[in-house]
Amino acid sequence: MPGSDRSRRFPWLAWAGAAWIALLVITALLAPVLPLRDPSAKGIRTGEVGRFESPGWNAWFGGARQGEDQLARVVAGIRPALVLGLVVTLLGALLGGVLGVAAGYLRGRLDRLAVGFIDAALAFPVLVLVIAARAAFGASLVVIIAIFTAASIAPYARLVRGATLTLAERDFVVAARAMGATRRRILWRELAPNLALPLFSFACLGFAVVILTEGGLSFLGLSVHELTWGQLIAEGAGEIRHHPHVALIPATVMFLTVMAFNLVGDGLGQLGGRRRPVTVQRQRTGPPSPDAPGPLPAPLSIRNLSTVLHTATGDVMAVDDVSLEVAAAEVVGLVGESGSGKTMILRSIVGAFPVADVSRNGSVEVDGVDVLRGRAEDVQRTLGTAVGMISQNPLTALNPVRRIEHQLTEPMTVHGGLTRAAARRRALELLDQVGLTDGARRLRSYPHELSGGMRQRVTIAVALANHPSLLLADEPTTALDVTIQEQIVTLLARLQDERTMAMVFVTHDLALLGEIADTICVVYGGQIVERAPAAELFRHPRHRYTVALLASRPDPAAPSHTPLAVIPGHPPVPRPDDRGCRFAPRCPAATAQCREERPPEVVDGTHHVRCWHPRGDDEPA
Amino acid sequence: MSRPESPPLIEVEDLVVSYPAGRARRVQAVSGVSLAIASGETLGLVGESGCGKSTLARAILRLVRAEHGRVLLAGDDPLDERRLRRRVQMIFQDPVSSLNPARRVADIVAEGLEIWGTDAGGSGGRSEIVERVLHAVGLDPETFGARRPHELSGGQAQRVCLARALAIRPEMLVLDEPVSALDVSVQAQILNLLERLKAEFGLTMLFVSHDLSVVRAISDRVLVMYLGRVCEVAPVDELFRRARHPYTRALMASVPGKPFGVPPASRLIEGEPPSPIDPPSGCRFRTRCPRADQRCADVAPDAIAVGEGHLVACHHPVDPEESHDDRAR
Repeated sequence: MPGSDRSRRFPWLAWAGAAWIALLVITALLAPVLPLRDPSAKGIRTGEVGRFESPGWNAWFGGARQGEDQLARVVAGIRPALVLGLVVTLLGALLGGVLGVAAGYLRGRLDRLAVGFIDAALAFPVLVLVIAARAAFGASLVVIIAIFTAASIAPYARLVRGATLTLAERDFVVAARAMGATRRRILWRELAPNLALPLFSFACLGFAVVILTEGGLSFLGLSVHELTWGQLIAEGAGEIRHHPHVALIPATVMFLTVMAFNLVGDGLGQLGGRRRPVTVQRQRTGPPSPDAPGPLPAPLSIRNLSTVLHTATGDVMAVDDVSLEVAAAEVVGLVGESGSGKTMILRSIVGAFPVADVSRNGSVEVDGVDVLRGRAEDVQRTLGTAVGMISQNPLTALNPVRRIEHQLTEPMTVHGGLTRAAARRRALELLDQVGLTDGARRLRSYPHELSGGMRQRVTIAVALANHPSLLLADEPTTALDVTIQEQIVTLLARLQDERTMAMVFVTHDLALLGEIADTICVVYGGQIVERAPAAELFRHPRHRYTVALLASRPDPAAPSHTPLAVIPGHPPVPRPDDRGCRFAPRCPAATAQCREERPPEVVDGTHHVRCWHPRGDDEPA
Repeated sequence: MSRPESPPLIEVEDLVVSYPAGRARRVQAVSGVSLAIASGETLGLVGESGCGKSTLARAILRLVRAEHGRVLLAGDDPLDERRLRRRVQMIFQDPVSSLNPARRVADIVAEGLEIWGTDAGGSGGRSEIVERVLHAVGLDPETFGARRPHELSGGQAQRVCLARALAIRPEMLVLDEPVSALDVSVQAQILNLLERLKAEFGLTMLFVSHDLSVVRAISDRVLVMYLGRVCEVAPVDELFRRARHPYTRALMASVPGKPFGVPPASRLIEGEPPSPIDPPSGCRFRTRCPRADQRCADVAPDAIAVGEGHLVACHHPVDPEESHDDRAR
């Protein structure tokens, strides 16, 4: 999307974490010049701090067992914590990063060796190694750093190897190879910048782990001789009952520090991260529209439907005042470009959205049941039995780890109340109806064992399992080859005719709708801008967008190399506060009125058009 | 396979490319394809998924290794693959993902100049060349130079890809489904732009696509592939008027709206393409072909000339006058 992307901002909590880390660093650097007491001075001798003195003006963090000033000791503990964390993280990220990139990019034998090393290293008991090393070398910071580093190489290597493997397959890396870029250049200019952010984010989390682990080791008395937070906590732990501040204050500082690194790490991860799939949805529904429903319920009746997606980049008017009636045995085609809202109209019917926060207004009735405001169980039953759905990608629509039999019989046993044997018999019938031979063998197959065309036949069978009165097909042939597309469209047309099903067929291909749809709706900027019987639409397109869409495809009668008619610009992101006609900026016939006022819906018999200046029949198309 | 009149810029001779398919088996994506593209010509390469058209395109740039055969550039076999990539550039299907998300448009376009030196881009300094090619693809350098790929629409990103390729003044573009990921209204913009750039930069093009209408609009000659082999090659008008291979006919008949006026595909083609791991003997199309007989199963057909520059690999080519009568509808 052009413009700034608010989801890529650094969250304020991460800023807070960064501020805490900065405070620690500055304090550690300035410690020698700050007016602090000697951390090793015993207050019971100097008389400055009392034994287990409570925190107060004299000693902000209180005193320890022998009157040591806890503030001075906590500050003294910053340095070993940061040094240990920084050195281990840098070394681990560097060594692990190099190993991971080399393994992931060069592949081959090196990769197999690296994977073996990573697996072995991740299984290694670090604690045992620390105890053994302490016995052999004593409590030295260098030894602890060496062990921690050795233990952290593998996780970094695994992360970087995985990221490199995915990146190396991406088109821009292949494009760089095709440009003649050398391996070194690809590593530094193409891979490294894209690896930096995830690696840095992971390193922040790693930093926190190092500080925590050191604390744990100190508690067990296994750490270095220097004064660390872990030791302060261990020392105070014995007095937790009567003098809790001795352990709790260093523990709080450590907790805040670990949390700060985690927050910064997560913040960085979000900066580079892809949008996460949404699990919890919040859907709002406006008041019912005043229109009274008709006497006989149609399979699908949509009145004044508006759907607003509340996204990080602002509200998107995905569906804008759409009314649509689909009668039994009727096929309505929705055609539009990406982002036009054609798929969102379908999703608004079944209530499945890509973002969490959605408002729907108007009414959607399936077989007379209001799916926006009806009782939850009615809606669920109606959507489960009366509506069948076919999506663009049959591979993601089917569960990859379950056999076809399970996926086909499940809707029948759950919603249709059939026994397993009856469901199986019916599954075989369905497979036969969708043109899959050798049904018994197909039932035992997994989705990946079938070709794209066969998988789409299976999803059609699944959609038909409960005799739906309405079939929603979302670009069902876009992922398929033309010869298979022809077969699937023929199949859908036959099934729809045999079962007198209503069907909504969504596609970007206007010519394809000419083969299957009775009525065609052209969708642009969330609105149905033109609706007409298929033949009428091709013969007398009225809306300027429809005219342009028809003209922008190569004319099979024109000689090759004929320049194509072009619609300038690209489709808009519809917003709730848009004024005028959304096609106006690209329209050759637009006037000031088009830019200011919403176009009215002009109805001429069965032909509806939302336009101030529709094309007349005498104008050339 | 065919010999155009002007000397070929690129020649592919008996190319075989295979991939490992597990359990020590290999699948041949391209099995013995030969073709030649004349300087200044646009060759359209059509076929369905798995026919080997993308593999062939990548093998020409040596992005995948050929097992057998060779690729000649202006008559000689460039042993140095980097030298080849200097003169032949590639454009991919998904324009956004073929741009490095971490870099800005101006840097992306200058990539070839960084690799090959500013002299590769002709006269002027680096920023002048970048400005020049961005203008050439219809993008304002002021507005777009500092943007990152995620701030571009699909059509804009494909224009950036073209600018990046053109910055080092290649002689040829290999375009792998360059408009398939774009919206219909944007497709026309890019196709017109390609025609203009071809004239402006004197380019030769290999245009890979599954979309017959688009291929017809942009190509001088068209080559049809099925399961790793060439079915038919012909000048564009000849092919669309007098297609001889049953598969070419089936492909034309499957286009929605039947713009090429041949009988419904269901009468011509049934079933699914066989697996390339275990291709049929003889003619690879025979399992779906209504004309297939024993000879088709026994002997793979050789390409035979059936007209000026028109070759067809079929034992039973369709009579050119057959069933084109319903063209007018």
